[in-house]
Amino acid sequence: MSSARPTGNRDRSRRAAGWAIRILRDPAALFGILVLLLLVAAALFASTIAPLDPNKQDLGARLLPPFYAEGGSSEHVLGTDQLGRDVFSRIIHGTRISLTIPLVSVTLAGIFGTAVGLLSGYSGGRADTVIMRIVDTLFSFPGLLLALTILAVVGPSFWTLAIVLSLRIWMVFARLTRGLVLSAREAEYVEAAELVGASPTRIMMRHIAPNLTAPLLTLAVLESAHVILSEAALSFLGLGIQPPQTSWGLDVAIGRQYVFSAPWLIIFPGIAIAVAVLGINLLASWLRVAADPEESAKRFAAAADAPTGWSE
Amino acid sequence: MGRYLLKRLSQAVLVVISVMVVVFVVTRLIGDPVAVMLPLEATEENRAILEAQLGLDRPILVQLGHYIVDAVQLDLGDSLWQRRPAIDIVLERLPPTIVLVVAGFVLGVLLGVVIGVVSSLRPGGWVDRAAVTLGLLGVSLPQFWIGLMFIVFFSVGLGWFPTSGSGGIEFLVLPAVVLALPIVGRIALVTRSSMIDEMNAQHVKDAVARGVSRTRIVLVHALKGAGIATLTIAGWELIGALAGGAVVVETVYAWPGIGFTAMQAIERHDIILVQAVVFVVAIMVVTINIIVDITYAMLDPRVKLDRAR
Amino acid sequence: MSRREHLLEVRNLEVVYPARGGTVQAVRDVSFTVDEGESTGIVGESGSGKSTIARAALGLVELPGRIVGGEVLWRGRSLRNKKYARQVRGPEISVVSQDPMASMSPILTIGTQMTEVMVRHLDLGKKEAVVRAGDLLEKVGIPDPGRRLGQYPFEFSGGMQQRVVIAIALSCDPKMLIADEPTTALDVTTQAQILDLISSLRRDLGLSLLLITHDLGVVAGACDLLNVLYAGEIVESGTADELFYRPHHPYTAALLGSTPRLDVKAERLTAIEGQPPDLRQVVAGCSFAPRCPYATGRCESSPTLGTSSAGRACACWHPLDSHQGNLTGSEGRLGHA
Repeated sequence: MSSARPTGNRDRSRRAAGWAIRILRDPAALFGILVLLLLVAAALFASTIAPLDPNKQDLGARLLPPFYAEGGSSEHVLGTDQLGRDVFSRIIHGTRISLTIPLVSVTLAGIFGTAVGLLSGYSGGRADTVIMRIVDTLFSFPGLLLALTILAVVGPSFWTLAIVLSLRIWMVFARLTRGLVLSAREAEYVEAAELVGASPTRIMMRHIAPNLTAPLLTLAVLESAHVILSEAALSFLGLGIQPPQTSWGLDVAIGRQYVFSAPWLIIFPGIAIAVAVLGINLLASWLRVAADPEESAKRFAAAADAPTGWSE
Repeated sequence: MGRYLLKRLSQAVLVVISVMVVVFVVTRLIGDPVAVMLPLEATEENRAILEAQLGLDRPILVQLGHYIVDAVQLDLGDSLWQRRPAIDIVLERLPPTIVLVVAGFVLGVLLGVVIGVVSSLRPGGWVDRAAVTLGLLGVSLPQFWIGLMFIVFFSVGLGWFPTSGSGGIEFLVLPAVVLALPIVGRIALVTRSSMIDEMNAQHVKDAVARGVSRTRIVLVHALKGAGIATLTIAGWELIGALAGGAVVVETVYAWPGIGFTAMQAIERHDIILVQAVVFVVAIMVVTINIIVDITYAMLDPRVKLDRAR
Repeated sequence: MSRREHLLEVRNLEVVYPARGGTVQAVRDVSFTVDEGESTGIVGESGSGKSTIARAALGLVELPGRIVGGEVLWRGRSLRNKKYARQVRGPEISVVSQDPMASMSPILTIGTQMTEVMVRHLDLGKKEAVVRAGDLLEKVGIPDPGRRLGQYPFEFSGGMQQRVVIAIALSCDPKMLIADEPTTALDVTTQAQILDLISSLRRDLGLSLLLITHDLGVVAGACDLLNVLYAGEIVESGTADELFYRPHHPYTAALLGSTPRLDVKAERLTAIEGQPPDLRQVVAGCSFAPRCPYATGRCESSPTLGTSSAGRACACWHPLDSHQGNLTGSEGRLGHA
């Protein structure tokens, strides 16, 4: 468990610097951070970075191959689709959806799930039992299939998509939060604080909340990767993002009809999804280790003399 | 055991019913099933006929009651698309899905466990690094995209496998592999980390000190313990493959299972058929959960089913 | 060779571990022997390197730990040879460790854990192994062995678990038992029973024993010879009686002063002030000097462990004489018996 004491400003900046150094030392984490920064930059400045309007059709320049292939040009580096739209520009604009959907879904799910978990863990007793039973039941729901059904009935849109995806993951936050609250409450310093009569709010804010931040943040990063994949899959199936909005999954769906003649239409948006998800997953697994002193020590021992672990 | 099963079965029924209630609420209250089902040019009269046919003119709670009572009797209504009982269609299309999911799951778990065990033997070594990278790729690559890339590469490029459809075993290879990939990734990562924990556990160190052979250490002492930890994840993977992966993979490869059927039904606005698919999948999911719990108790002597939960 | 061959000989052993901010010198120039039928104790605080010595005596120093010097010999052959160490573990050397519950696989039956080594090392069939396992359980005082063999560790009480662990350790009829804090996790009455069991098994089977503990009370009755370990070094060694009644090294004396005893009437128990040194730094001079009430300027250079005629050794510039708490004199390098 990390220390629950608030730290001064100087301490905080020193700690931030320490984290930065640790990220720079780990190539996987560095890759993850770079991917994330790149995505954020692409999303924020999409209109500036993208050479062309992602929805601008040019029927004279249909299904042009990427620059490296015969007939390709630097004007459309990654080629064009069946309507002559620039694939590269569409991918750049696609980052907006790929980032905002997880941002919205994970935030919604995180806030709701954490609240439910706090309530469950802190109240205990019957309320806890009932809440966790509901959570267990929801875990047994046929995830994607149910999401498809709901989207098919309600009609796909940005917000229904974001909400449906958050409905699939909030239970994970609830379960984690409850577990953390329960173990923090058992910690001696919390018991001591309760004994000396600290108010529940004070205990929650000063002693329990600090123990929640790191694991919940890690989970949020990890779930973002899941949400990106789910959004892409739903958009691919035609029940996610709808034109004229652009999404990588949607682009793959469009390219599917030209899979034999114009494979670049699916290759590049797919690579974009894979790189984004991989980067975020790497970041999440690094965070998990870095936020946990015990894991961190293990990894240090491993790094100090790899190959390590058990050996005779 | 008998009492435990009874308890679990009643919980399972509760889960299935709550899935159905959610679907019901979504379709009847939030959505407008009639509008979804009817073509755009439908008249008010068409609408009234369909509403009566679906019983939508009755009070909502009566509808829900009928709906659940019918579902329990496996009467899920007639498919609007094929004009015959939806449950019949789902049961017809179920075997191909089971074949696909079982093939992908078995392949995924076997490969995942092997990779996880091998990489745990020398953590930090190059085999381990390669395995971890592979595992991360497995969980990061979108399945529908890998499916299409396999078609481009193996079917179109090399001509090894048919692009889509069903028939002999050659039709099964690509979809099963694609379905297996994320399973391989997650199972490998989980098996690896629980194997490393086991190998560092005191009882394993002491078993080495007492002269137990390395093979037995890895395959019996460590793997049995790690297997218990992996089992839960394997259960989730099976559920994920059935309720998620299969829909995507079947759609990409036009594999005639329930996932593909669900997508066809959605395209044709056949909500009744989609509901039937969700119903059958929900039953399978709760069944898998019960099987996982029983297997758990069989593997871990410390778990007693009657006391659990 | 006229010299009797030692069963276990540890010679100038040096073990290091990499750690944050340097390398930990866990074991520094440690030498001792265990002969056939002999019982040797290693006593030290936690972190003194005693468990590392136990692992080294099994040929099992886990990475990232490394043996950087010295030798560990079993019957004259190096246990740093992995193949030899594998042959020796089980049929020649076996181990009993601190927490019996953690020491056994929780998901394999007692029977499986006893017979698996027998089948491998004793060339027994499954059935013969089961019979032998039952006999062993009876020998360590577990009633109804036939039924017990099919049970799992969690179905035994703590004391019974340690008996089972001892039985597992004895499966292949080893020559030496390494007991690493065998009673620390047990309650006081059970501790005595387990120690009695180990002593009587030792007599009956002619076992050698390497007993590792932080608790002088444990070694008191169980060991013939004692090595006192401080900060990775042996600071004093000799027979158990001599060390108990006439400690030469101030650390040994301090340890005795902090251990409750029934045989000597002590006014009060005294804690040892201060902390053991940080082993990531090279310790110059006597490592106990900072905590030692007798330390002088001379202690800034390292005292060496020499052997006197009676097989007794002490690494101290100012060894205590037989009267507890008195200085023998500033020139005394070795404590002479």
